[in-house]
Amino acid sequence: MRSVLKSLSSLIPRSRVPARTSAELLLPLTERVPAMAAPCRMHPSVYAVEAALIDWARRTGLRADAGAGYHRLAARAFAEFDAAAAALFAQWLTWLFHLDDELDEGPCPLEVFPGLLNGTAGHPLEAAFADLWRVTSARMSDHWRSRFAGHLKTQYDACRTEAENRLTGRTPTLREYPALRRGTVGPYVYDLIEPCLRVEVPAWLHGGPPWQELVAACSDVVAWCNDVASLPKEHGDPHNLVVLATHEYGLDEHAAVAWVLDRIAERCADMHAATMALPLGDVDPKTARDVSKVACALLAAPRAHLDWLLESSRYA
Amino acid sequence: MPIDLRDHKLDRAFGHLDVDGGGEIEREDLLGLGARLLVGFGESPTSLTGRRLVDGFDGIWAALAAALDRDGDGRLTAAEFKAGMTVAFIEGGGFDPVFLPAAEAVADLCDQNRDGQIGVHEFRMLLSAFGTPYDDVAEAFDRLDRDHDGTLTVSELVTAVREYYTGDDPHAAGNWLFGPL
Repeated sequence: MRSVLKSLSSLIPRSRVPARTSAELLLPLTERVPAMAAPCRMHPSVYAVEAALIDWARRTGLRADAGAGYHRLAARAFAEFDAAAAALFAQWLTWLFHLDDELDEGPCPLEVFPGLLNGTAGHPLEAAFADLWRVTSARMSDHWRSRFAGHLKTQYDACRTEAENRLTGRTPTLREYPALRRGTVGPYVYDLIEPCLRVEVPAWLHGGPPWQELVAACSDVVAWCNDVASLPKEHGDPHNLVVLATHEYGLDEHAAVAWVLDRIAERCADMHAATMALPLGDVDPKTARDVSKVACALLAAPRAHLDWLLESSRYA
Repeated sequence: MPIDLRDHKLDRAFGHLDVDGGGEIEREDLLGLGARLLVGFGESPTSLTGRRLVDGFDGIWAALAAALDRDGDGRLTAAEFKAGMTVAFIEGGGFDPVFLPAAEAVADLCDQNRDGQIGVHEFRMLLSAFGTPYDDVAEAFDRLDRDHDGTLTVSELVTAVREYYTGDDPHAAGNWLFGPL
């Protein structure tokens, strides 16, 4: 009977099929947002990327959860580049999601940050971070390293604010939330594209309004898609754009999700406008090509993330 | 001499990819040109047009490598690039199934408002990605704009691409695709 229903459901327009997971609530974006219309290509060496990730996880003592599929997210985000780029990003993603779990469920969650910022290695997360940092930072300038460290501190501050909110029962406003969420997501994840591609965006270009807006809009799209997909796991935690929309506008969950999808579509349009404003004519042709590769990774991130949300056991 | 003309055009095409002047190109150089085109137009590799462009450029590199009996990770000198282009797309039958879809994706990228027309502004964005000097763009556009109505059709641009990469007619307008030779 289940297989009959499944085959019948394929005949019904997708929007009429109830979502099996919250991630499926995001599917209308593939029709509404031109930049999310086509699935990401998959790296042809995705299995080599997975093998490299398993090896690294075993070495550093972190868990490489095959069902979570961090290697598949990295293999989509870096489908056009060498397998080493995708493998390094997969390792960082694995570390990042372990950190996320530690912050959600660990006994003393925020204590991990001073260790990361000071370079100690008392916790498996700190040791794994030190390993990744050694490989990654060697390729980059002091300017990039201080940018990364600043973004790690931004995440620490944002997570501390969230923790204080939870302790005091305070709910952030919809106006406050985007900046807070950009912090908790770990803004350095977008800095990692450059070392993975062995490129460094010139400081003046990276610090300019178009690039900053491109990264911020990309971060918002990815974070808010994540908020929709992780809705069943929130258990009343207000640090979620859908939950905040229900509180602040008095919407039911269905209407709040629709409201969030509208905001996501707007931020995708902002990504397009910011990209058009990048001053590529002000750099030499080689730099323009290199910078474009980084920008393309940002532009592809929303769909790569969506494809992963739909298949990862983390959101099943 | 027609052969010299085509050889000269393919040398120029090699230069579009060898932006660091190292004398060799690899797959990532072609995909770097694709990325520069996409970003210039604000297009994501995960839009329908963007995906067609990336698939198309990847297909061109695979055809070049196959024509030279190489694996896709290798590097090509200018002489090898020209030999591969000749075998795959000029003497061989690879233009229509492989090169043309990529050219059409690029032309569609330029047609931002989807009306089938490409204005000089979009054409300038296209040529800046290939590194054509600013002052050469207007003349290139005028040469390709055969009816002088101030726009190129998508099909006119695709025809010019075919003439540039495969043609040996010294009078073809497509020779002007990237400015004066």
